[in-house]
Amino acid sequence: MSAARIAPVSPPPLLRVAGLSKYFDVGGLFQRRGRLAAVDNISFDLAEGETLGLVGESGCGKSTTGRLILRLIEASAGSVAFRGENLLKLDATAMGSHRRNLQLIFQDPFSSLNPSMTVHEIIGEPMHVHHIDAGSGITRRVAELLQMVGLNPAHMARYPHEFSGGQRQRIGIARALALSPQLIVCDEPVSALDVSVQAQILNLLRRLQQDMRLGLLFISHDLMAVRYIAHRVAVMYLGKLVEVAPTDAIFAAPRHPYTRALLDAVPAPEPERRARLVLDGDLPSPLDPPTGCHFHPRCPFATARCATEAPALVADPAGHAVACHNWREIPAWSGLSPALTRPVEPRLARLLERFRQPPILPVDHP
Amino acid sequence: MDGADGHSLPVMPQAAAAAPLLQVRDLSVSFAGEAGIMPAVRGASFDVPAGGCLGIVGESGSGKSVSSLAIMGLLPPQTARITSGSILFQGRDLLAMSASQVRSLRGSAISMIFQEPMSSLNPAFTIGDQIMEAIQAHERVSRREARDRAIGLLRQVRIPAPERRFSDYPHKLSGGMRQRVMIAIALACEPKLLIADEPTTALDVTVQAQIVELLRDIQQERGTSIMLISHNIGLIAGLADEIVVMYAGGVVERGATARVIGHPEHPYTVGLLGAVPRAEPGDHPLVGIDGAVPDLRHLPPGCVFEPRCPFSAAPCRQDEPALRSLLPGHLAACHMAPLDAVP
Repeated sequence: MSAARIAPVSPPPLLRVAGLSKYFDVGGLFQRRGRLAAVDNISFDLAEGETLGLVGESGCGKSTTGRLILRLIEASAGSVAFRGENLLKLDATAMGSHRRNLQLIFQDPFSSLNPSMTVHEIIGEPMHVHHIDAGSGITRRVAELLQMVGLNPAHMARYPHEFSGGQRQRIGIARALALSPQLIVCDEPVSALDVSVQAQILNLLRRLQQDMRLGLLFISHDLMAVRYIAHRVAVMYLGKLVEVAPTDAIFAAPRHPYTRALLDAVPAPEPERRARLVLDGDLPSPLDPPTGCHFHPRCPFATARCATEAPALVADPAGHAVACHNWREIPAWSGLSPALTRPVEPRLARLLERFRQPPILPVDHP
Repeated sequence: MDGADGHSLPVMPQAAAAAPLLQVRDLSVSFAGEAGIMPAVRGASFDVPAGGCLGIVGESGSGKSVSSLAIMGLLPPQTARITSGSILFQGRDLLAMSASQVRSLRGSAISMIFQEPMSSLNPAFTIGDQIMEAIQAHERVSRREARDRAIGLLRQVRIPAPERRFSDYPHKLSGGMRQRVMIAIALACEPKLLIADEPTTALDVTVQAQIVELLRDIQQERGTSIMLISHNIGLIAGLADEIVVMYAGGVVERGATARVIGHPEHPYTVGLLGAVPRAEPGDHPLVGIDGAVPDLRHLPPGCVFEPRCPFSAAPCRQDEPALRSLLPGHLAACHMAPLDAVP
């Protein structure tokens, strides 16, 4: 009935990374000079209110990617468009005023907070820098932010050392939220924390992301944490994206052999009975990456073509992209350990309910 | 409320008759510092089964690593003091031995691998030299024989081209390879007990899986007993026959792995199991345990977990619960256990 309409021009995504690359020149005095492609021609979008998990092992370029997007380091090539505007083309002043929209949460809550500043000063500093709510408005806002991250506003005059690791990470989150950013890059935000505290911080980030419709780039080596928090997952290996897909799709049927190996490496809380893909060898040196597909020397499914021709990242209509010549031919994946996928035993689920009661304000530090 | 309905649970077979290889009894270790005395381990008791794997799980400050250093005789003598307990290895108390007796046991009968394979190797010597040194420190063998055995060990820890790798310096090896070399050194004198303290934590995810497989193979092929220490309950549960859960210096629960994972009786164990993301269908919020690990210098009166515990009641704030048996072989230090009875 309705007449054909011209499709509305869709607004640009919150973040569009295209052809982003970072090369480092290495060596010098004693070694031959070389070029290291830390990030090698990667492209992805991040929608408003979306969490994208960026996973990979150390040295794969995931942290560098986060820093390139925030222009904490300068890219060698490519573009980073924030709501359609290429950040890499902005001069220092224009970039400075954009920074309030783009924030970073660090891995280490011990080294990322200035020990000589109070919590009030730490969280209020971005507001001073951007001339927002100067004066008494800042104190009100700091109190509100502390409340939001589950800390007691009465503690704003305290110093970082008076807080536990998890509380310090909450302070780092409050600081990142101070200017109501639209995009936050979280670089391994729970890796330095104890397991029981990791869960608190993951829950907090998930809640804040939903409530404030934040775009999150969640960088992690922990696939299960990524599964918990991200809507989509991007897997990186030696500077390149090898698979990008909605979280459910990638956990149901990973297409890239490397993704599969990462999933098979998740320790299962019972003796293993699965046929797992345990990779031989280590990550090759990014200084001297293998020819063709970077993963082929460790890949049990590699063919002659893989050694010579680098596969392109190709997406299907459902938005599941993979960079592998042979993904359609390789045998079906056996899935995560049943110990991880079966529902929690009713007894444990019942006992766990007790922990879910409304959060009490954090206990005072002794 | 006092364990009365323990009989309604399935009764497990009694533990095998074989004597445990290592028995730790009522071990307490304190550190003296400027800020006062810190009780790092408080009355811990556990056994490592002969030929089996004991997993110790705990977060920072739980006392899991300090316990292993006490077993190895590696506590810093200036600051640490063992205030009580015994450590029986094949029936002999390590704490009653002379320093030289302990030294000869360390490496030959008990050896240890650490979290940081980068800093545990000497950068100035080849890996072959370092393995040979470990062999020759405990046995009188010729250089030629030591070399052959070192290459055999490199092969056993699945290092490709061991003859060539023998002459490599540590910096040429990746983190996973260095951890394999550390395991080769630890196995050099065919120890009966291998203590692995967070052996995979510093490694990449895919390499972690390799090291876990290697440890499992070593236990099965050589019959080496393993004491595996980790913050990762999933890793422990995949390898260990028995599990010890530590919190703030004390053992809060122990028993056969399947029992403790399948039927936890300490609220902390329950919380830990709920804090690890799983992949079951549907959306299940993770359980974070509110609060943080207490400062060991200012432990709360009563149960140390009480301030974070959703099961706590009046007695928990007064008396520290003792580890008690709920079933043969399954113990928990909780006034409220068995938890099913808590209203």
